[in-house]
Amino acid sequence: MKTNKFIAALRAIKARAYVRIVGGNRELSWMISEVGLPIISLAAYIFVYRSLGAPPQYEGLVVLGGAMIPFWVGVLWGMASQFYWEKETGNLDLFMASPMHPAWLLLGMATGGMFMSAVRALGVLAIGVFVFGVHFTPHQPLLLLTVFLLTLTALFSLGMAASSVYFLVGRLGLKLNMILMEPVYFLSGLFFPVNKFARPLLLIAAAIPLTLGLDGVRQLLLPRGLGIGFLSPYAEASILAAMTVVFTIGAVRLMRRLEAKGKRDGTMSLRWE
Amino acid sequence: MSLAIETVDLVRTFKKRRGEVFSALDKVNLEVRPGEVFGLLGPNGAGKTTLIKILVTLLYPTSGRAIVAGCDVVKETDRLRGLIGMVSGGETSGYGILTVRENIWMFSQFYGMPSRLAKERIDGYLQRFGLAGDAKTKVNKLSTGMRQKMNIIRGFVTDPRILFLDEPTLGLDVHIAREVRAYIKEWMAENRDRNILLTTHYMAEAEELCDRIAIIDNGRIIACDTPAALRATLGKGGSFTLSLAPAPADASLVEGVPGVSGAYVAQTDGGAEGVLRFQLNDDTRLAEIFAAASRAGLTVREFSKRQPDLEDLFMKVVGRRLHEDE
Amino acid sequence: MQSRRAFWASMKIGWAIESNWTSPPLYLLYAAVRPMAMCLLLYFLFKVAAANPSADPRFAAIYLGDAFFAIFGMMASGLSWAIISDREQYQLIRYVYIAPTPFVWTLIGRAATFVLIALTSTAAIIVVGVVVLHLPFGWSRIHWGLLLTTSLLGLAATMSLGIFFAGMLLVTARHALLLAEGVGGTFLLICGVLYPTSYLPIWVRPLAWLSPLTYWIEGARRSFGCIGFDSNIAWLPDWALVLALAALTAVTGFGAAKGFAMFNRYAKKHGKIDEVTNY
Repeated sequence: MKTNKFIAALRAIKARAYVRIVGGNRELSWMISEVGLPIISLAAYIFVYRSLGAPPQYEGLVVLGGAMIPFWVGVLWGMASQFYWEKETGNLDLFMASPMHPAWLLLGMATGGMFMSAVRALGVLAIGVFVFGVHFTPHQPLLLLTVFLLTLTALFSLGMAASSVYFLVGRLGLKLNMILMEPVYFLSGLFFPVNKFARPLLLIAAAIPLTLGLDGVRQLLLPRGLGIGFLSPYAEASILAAMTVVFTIGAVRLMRRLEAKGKRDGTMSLRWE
Repeated sequence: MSLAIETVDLVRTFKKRRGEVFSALDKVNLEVRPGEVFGLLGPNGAGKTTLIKILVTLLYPTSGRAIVAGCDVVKETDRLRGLIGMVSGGETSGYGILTVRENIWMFSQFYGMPSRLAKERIDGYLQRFGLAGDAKTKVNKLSTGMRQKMNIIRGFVTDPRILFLDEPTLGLDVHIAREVRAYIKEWMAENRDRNILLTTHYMAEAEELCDRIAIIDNGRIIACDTPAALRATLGKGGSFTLSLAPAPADASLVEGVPGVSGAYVAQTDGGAEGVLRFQLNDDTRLAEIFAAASRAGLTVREFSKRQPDLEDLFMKVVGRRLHEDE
Repeated sequence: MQSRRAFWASMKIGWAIESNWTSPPLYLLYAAVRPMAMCLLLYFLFKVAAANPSADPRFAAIYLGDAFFAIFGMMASGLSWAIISDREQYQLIRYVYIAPTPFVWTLIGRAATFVLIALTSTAAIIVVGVVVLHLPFGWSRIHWGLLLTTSLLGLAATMSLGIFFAGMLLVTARHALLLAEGVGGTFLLICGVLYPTSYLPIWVRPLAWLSPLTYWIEGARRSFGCIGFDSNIAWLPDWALVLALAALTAVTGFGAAKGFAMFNRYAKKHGKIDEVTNY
């Protein structure tokens, strides 16, 4: 069957995104488990700020951080470790034997994942605003949208690149996921501004797209004068754009290289390791 | 005439722990002609799946060459993948939370099929395989047989030039397995320029479907020909089964008789009765066998002869049974 | 006898599954990293909102609360992962389920593995708190009797809650991995782990008083010399605190057994035990 490569790519991306979006929403219990329940944890951190007598605007830090959690979870569990799951369920063989470039598969997963995470993030924001009374004062909406979108693209392209690495390390990838949850929450300053970090720690934190995105979005959504930013949103947007490009190129190259390695070593369809 | 599949001195080794090397394929040379259903027969661990994985570009050969549909499996991977399809037996692939139609559609999109065409074909196949009523059923609700039918449809829906079926009827009940085989024959009859490479260790399936069969064991092709030609190598005579009481301890009763080969005690009934099987290429020797039984104090309860089949061939060329529990 | 064997076997298997990818010390370090990260997050959150955490007794209380609560959190997330992977990935749960030993004992064994691992993490967090963050948890200041009593009861309550939670997981779909976070978050919210329960809305406070974890955390704080953090229960003498914890633990255990049985019946009725829902 001859078909234009670009059209074929779009079809493959659409099909994989469909799985993520439809499959992810089919069991409606996600509304409870992925929006309702995480809000409860966030409420705890809002109460911490209240108990310490912090200004109410600080509660916005928690809500925004909580809204970004679905994206990070999506990157780790929906992207980085996805090939491991596909291998375990026997889908990976079939995907790799198809004419589809693995990058289309990754892009489809990323597209679907971004949509799913965005829906969940909106839920968290809505609860933050209407239940906890958190106020946001958006300024420079275009820049805000740009920073947010670039954060998504940087995060999910990181997920694409990570999926190749995870493919290589197999089951250890799941361990990596575990160890990259809370430590990244800490390093990215999920509930507090990272400008309190010492410089060496700040440099490490700045290498994570989540840190930059969160910092930029906070500066543009929370009242000015809180002193919570460590870089200007323009700088953060630029770095995020560069990260997107680097991670995406890295993902495509790494995927092919690792596919070749998997085929050489016979580990591509090795299950139960 | 260009071949559909050709392998030249194909080798595949794997490194085990402690630096040992395991040879899964050892200089395999195969030629599959266009329009053939080609069978690959062998016990577990013979190298069938390894060979398929190389031919469908999931595994590199360690050395040697493989050309599928005119494409080198190593150098022309992208072009080749659009021309082939693969279905394995006992598959758990697919997404449990999606419906049958959605799962097949998804794979069709990975092959670049227009959505409308894919849906038409999927509906046609669902009808053909009796899954039309389950098109909207989530895959995690399907029985094993229905799931495998879905997988079979997935293999055919993209209209591959060469379809690799790796034990496609594994674990299926008789009725569904028959249905699958019937469709394979139908598809080949309608598409004379296509090929199927089928791996199986069901002898009957290989004999029913395959134009030619290669027998593989320990990574080597032991024999390769049409089923009839392979059976003919067993010579005249046939396969015999003797039900004896009491059960013979071993097959030494008949092993001394000229023309006997592949003798073994198939089953015993706690010592009270036993079944002895053997090949004999000269029926005139039967009298000697009955006499030997009588001298040993054994009574022949039942006696039957059948034409030699691939199980017998396997026993002869490989030196052991295909199904080790028999 | 069979149940005991199943319990020990599950514990050993649980440990092997969790740790066989590296050496035991490295694994224990890995296990401590996550709760440690959350404690450090709290340190900086406190620093942003208040003053020097190391000099503020409130932070010491929060830090201890989080360190001990990590035991419940790790048990909940570990157990949920174990059930989901056994069901969806390895598809072994059906075979374990139909074995003659009551299934609940294999779950208790798995939960116990996570609790024991979490205990080492908690110890590590406290050591880091003393050495790195200069928190005032002196060895000589620990009230060992109270610590051991409240810890044993708290662990029993944790295991009971774990069994109830495991029952919930039998009837939920794959993204129930996040259920662990939600359940953990609920207890984090109501049990005075990070702030006094007096900051909860008035209608939520009774839930805190009915949770055994609230008393366990308070008992742990008192054992390390952090007195008076939560005014709602600080007035309870030690013996009353232990009594309340014991009573609530017993009730929790009874409720967990009943709850698990109910979920189990539901799961069997609707074919959920070995349902695969991957997407």
